[in-house]
Amino acid sequence: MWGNKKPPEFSSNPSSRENPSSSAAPEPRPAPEPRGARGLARLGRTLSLKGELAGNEDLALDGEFEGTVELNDASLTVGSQGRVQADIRAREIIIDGTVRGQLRATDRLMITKNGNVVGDLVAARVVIEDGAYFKGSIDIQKPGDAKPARTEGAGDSFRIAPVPVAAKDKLQ
Amino acid sequence: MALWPRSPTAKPEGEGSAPGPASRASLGLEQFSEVIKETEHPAVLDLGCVWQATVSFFTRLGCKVYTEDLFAHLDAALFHSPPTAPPLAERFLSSILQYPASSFRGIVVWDLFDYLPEELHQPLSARLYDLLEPGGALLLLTHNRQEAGPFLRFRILDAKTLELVPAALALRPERVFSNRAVLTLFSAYRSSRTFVGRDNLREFFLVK
Repeated sequence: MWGNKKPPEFSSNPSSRENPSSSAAPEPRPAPEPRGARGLARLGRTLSLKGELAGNEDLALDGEFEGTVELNDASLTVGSQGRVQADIRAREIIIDGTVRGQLRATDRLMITKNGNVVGDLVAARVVIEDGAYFKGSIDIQKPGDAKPARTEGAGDSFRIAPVPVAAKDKLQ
Repeated sequence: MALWPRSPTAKPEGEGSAPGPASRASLGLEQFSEVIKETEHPAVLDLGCVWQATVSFFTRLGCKVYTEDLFAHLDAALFHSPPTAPPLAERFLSSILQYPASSFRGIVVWDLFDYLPEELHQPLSARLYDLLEPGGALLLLTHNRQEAGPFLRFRILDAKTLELVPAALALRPERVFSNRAVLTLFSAYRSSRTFVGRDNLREFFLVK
């Protein structure tokens, strides 16, 4: 009864069940534009990618991604249509879509009211809007407390290591 | 004020219609906080939905905060499961609280037991006891009477104050617990204290 198997999902987002207006198909919204002078890369909402992603420029995920993301001093934004199953390290993480994984932000981690997150969060600051769904743990680590971010392999552009995607492995 | 069952046009969580959030003093939370502060970087499990205010309160105490919204989980198990789903106890209990024993210094249950079908009382209380470390505390709320009204979420404003926020779950109270019934259900705990509020809410502060 209390085994360690992954809990089945009764619904993708309990918080959305509490919002009758969400039963209508929402209009896809692009991810909010991350701020900063660095370039912005975007995974469009019709795209699906599986692999390792590392770099030092802001990234917006509006499609499906599975793997790992390491952005060092940059920002990751998961748009309202984004579905991500990944371990993520970034300076700032903003989630407006669905994310499963271990998330570490050296600065701020934000879950918007539309966000649906299952995982363990470590960040210097956590902002959670009313209506967000979250299951997991939250640990606040200020910069002095945090382990140094991994810099190996980081560059000015993204490094993507694709791996084969099996249809059955796609995000549910 | 909305009556049970909740209208399908009810506003989403955090945007409840009148009367809106109300606050209440909480002696149980005060005691709970004291136990939490006894250890360094304690782990606390909140069985309600995630609120910024609650997370901030516990992280300011140095806690690692775990959130698992069993109210939403119960609502899904009761009202949103397919007809072919396994029996309630199986589908509810098999997918929650997947943590090792003695993981937490504190667990905030809120008024979850008021909404649980009776078949879930004993297995869930036993599981919560298992998850608490020795000396850890559990905070439980229960209503004095079964009255019509909106489903309320709780969030922590400070160590002595809770805010009650109307929310849009379809859960309705299953029963009213007597003090004796609560203490029987949680009889394994080393000590217990009960605080009765003027708002028909009782708080049980239990230490393992």
